[in-house]
Amino acid sequence: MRVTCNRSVLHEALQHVSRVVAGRTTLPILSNVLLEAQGGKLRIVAYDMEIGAQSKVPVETAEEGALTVPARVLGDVVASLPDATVEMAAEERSVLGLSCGRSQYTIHGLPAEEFPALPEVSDGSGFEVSQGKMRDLIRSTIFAASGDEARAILTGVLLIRGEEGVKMVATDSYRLAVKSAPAEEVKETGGDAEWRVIIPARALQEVNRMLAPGEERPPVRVQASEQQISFEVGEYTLVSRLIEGQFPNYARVIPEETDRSVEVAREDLLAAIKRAAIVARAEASKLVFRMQEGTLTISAESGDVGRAHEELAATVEGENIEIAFSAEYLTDVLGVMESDSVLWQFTGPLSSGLLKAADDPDYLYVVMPMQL
Amino acid sequence: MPYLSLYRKYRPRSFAQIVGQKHVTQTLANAVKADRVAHAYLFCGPRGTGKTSAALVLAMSLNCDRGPTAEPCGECEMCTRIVAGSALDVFEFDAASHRGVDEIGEVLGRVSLAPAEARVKVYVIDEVHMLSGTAFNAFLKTLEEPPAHVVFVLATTEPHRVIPTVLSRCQRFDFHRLGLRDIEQNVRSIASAEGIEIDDRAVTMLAHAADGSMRDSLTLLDQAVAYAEKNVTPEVVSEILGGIDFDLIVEFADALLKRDVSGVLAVIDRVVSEGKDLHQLVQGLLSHYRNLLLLRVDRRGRDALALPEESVERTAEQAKSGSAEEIVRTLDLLAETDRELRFTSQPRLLLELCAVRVCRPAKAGAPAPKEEGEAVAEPHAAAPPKPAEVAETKAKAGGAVGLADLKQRWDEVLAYLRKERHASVAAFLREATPAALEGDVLTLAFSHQFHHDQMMREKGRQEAAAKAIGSVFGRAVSVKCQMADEPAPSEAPAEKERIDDYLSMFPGSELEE
Amino acid sequence: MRLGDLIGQTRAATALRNAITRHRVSHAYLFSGPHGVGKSTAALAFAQALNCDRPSPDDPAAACGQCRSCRLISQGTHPDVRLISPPGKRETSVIPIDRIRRDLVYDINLRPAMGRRKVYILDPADRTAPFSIHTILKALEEPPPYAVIILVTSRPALLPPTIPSRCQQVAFQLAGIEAIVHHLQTLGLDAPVAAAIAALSGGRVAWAVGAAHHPDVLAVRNALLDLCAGLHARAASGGLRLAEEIKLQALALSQAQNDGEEQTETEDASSESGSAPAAAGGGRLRSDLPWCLDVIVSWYRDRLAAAHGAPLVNPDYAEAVSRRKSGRIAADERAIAAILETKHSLQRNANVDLALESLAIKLLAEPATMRSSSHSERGRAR
Repeated sequence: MRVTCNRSVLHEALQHVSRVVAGRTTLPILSNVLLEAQGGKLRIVAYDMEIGAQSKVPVETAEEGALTVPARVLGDVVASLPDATVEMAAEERSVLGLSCGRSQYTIHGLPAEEFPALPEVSDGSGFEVSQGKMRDLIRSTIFAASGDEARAILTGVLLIRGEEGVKMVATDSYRLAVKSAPAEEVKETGGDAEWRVIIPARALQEVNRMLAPGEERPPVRVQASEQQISFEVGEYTLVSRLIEGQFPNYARVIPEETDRSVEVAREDLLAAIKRAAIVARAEASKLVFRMQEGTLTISAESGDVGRAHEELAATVEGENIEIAFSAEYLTDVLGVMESDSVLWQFTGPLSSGLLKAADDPDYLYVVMPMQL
Repeated sequence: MPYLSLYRKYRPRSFAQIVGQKHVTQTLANAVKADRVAHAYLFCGPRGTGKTSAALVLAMSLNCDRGPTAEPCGECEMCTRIVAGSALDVFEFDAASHRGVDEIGEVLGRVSLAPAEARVKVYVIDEVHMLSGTAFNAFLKTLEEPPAHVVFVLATTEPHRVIPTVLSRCQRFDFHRLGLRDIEQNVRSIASAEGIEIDDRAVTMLAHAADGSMRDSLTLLDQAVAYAEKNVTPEVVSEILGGIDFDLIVEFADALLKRDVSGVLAVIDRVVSEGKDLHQLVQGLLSHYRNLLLLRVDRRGRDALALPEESVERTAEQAKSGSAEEIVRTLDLLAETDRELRFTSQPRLLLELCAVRVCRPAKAGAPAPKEEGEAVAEPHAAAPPKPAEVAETKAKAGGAVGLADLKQRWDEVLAYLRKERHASVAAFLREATPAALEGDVLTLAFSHQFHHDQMMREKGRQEAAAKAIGSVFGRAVSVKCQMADEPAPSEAPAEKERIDDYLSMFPGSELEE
Repeated sequence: MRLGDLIGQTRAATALRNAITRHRVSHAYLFSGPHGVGKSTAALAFAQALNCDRPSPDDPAAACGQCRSCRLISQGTHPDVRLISPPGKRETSVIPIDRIRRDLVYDINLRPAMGRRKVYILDPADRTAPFSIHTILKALEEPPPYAVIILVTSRPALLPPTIPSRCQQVAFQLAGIEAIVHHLQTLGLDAPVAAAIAALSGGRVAWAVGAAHHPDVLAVRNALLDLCAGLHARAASGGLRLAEEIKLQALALSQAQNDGEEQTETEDASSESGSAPAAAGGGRLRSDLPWCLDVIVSWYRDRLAAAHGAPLVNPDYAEAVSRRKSGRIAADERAIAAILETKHSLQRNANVDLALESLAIKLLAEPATMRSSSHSERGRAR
């Protein structure tokens, strides 16, 4: 293998891909990235057996071939090289020779054959959305997934592609978030059958990082097969295994009818909740909400620490209610929403609360109350 | 439909399907019907007897889509999810790997949150005795003030290690070891449902080997089917059980009873070269000798033997040729070997030494074991040293601990017990004194009948005591309990007690209810 | 490596092959049996058979060994076959609980990347951090349909009973001596050498193969047995000297190991004390000595056996062993006990020289009546 390329392009590609490299691993090969030169592209791959990242860098290929080198070493070297053309060549016994200007390096690596194959998602059906939409989908739901490995399914995010567009759902059994991208904003590819898959939250985090802020183009191409899913943006691809099992039936969790509601300014609500939560830390962040004509009050009490009492102007409909929630399950969602006000709906103190952004029909959040 | 292990496929999905625990399932079903389900249950019993199944059936009956019912449908979304382990509001975890207060705190901290879709949140905590002390205490607070919509089902194989304050807040159910008949019947009906051809005797062998656990019997059945060419015959079962069959055991016992050392060693050599499992052999011998003992002391014993008729005959024949004393002595040696086999890298040697010792005469003057080429009769040797391959204690090399030491440092034993959360055992032992030490058998004399009885009631207590003594003194012992006004034994403790002990130890001959 | 190629494991191989050919592959297996007989190898062979891209049409349970899947599995980089073992080679190292949680409990829920089945091999399953084995209980109860968990252990009694209860047990046995002799001959050894090594191996194929690459092993064994044969001719005060000589043999063994290439790590042959001469680093003496002591034990055991006309472990020393004036069975038993105790204290890091001296003194302390008439030649049958 022998290629020549632009340093900063190489650097950026390495940075993206290296994030996926296994942190602590029992197999040395997994600490490496695969460099494969074919045609006019250099494919750089990292894989930790769960998530794989790939990026393609345009190069001048003098000779095709492949080998693997430790990601960290290569990344650090390339990061600190001067901004000139970089030439890389495979020498005997899996050693990479690298030169840039007057810097010359050799880095010991391992043969490419030992690198595990990155799963390919060919013939999958999928869809395309803008980068902004994908970010929206992810950040609206990912925080609600569970961190408990013992309940593996809940550590994933459900992705549904159907007639009505695309939906993402996440829950840890204490709260549930559903974000939709309506059909107009989604372009289906490869057939129109409905499918649903469960994606490890970690993979989505990496996808998020792949997306350039503020950019809409190129769109994100998503493709899924039985076993994995791939996200492609420009020259970057992220592939992840899917989680096996039945995701909870989220429709059952969403309350059908509610008879009380309160509409309140979002930022004020968030601020008040954060403040009151300070007092409630020892009580599992328990906050008691009361709604009466025109007012929403939040109180918290902790024997040793003290008391909190907040009042907010609100439009209240239906009977008064007193209900308790953990601040933990309110702060992130309120932070993620962008609307000015939120609509919060209830049935009774022991039933879940339904939170919506006032002007966003595509986002639903359900949160379980605490015992009063 | 991909292949599912039998024990998974036939996991009980209703109270009626749980075998052999009527006293539990009936009570639970009634509680559900009468809407008087407790907030916390403690299910105790050996593995594979239905504890987790009962917990899940309870969760189903409380949350079935068709309403709380003693007969959950098993088909609705809620039921299927609970069975599949993917119900949002049913939490199953084992305390053994979540012992710490932090881990349990994570889960318990959210107990008060309302269920997401179910009526009642159900927490199933397995091996709950493994929670650390602090975790137990944290748990206690939740048990004291349980939220309305929560039911805890705690399960354990060692109830004596659950702290009394938790015990008192739970409704306790004891799951029994399953009887041979129950297991046989279950195996037969499942075999028939699966179209498996299995010999009756093979069913008995499997049931026997399952040792009171329904799950084990089904795992064994699976193994037998996988191994068999066509039907499951007794030979197949014998193979999967390590190739140790009745004939081999009788042969071995025969040689032992005749003190034929070379014969015994030859059998061992054969067993080893055929690659059969020595540990299984020892366990088979233990079981067999226990049967011999039973037949020797109790003529009615024949009915209680869970063996086919011809085997009973042969056992009875053999029982005639050994005295009860000798049989007990052999049992002692075998039991010791059984324990040590787990840790040794020299199983063959261990068994050979055991056999040689068994064949040695118990009393001086009795015929010595036959030795070839012997010119001089071997004088009776002093008590043979014990192979020291015991990894279970931190043995101090060559430390000889005497009775006086034991008495002096008895407090340390009690402290150790308390530290290991055997406070009750410590309490019983406080009034006991080490009375005699023979070989590795320590006799404890109790001044209160109550304490003595309590210690005798559960094997776990004696084991805990033995372990504590072992840890403190660096020497493995087994513990015998007796009342203080009985004469302290100058020889091995009263034979009757030993006989009773052995008789109570083994499965298969319990008189069925 | 195919299942059918396992030496002397007909029972296990049959059970596993039947499982595949009859589509009755269970979700959980427990491979048990003495160490060094092929359990780990079988686990990998099974994993290969389950995932092979080109299984043979006459024998669906035989993996081809050539396809990408088989090769990745042999290398240990197949994304769907996880080998979970203790880090490092020390006998005391255990598999940490995080590893089990991450690589098994969590990972099992991820669908296979390229294989038909995901296989998790926990080897050895009895060397896990305390309480951590329970963490796999749920995975054992209700695994996804594509998963197979294989627990490998030579000490199943150390597992909490709830674990084996959920697994299909596949018992591995010690191989027959002939099977090993035959195998060694296919490796190119001469018949007599193969026979001697096979006899020494005690049925452990891995050990035999390892020893075959280090014929010095046989030399050490002979030297030790000669030592034993000559014991009664030594003065009772020769304890120090005897201890030295024993230690020398153990060192010679380590040397043989050093010189050779890195031994193939097909088994957890190195993971159990005193059973095979192999270990890394400075602790080598500590692991080679127990094996030497085992050889000495076999001498005394043979004396006992010879006294009763039972078969010997070292048949080529038959003559030397049976040259004894009178019984003294108890003396032999004491000797055995002393040697086992020494092994035990070495395991607990007792000082090597002290332990050996103390043992030597005990061995030499036996009464002079043990001297036999003429002796000291090698009584080896040829």
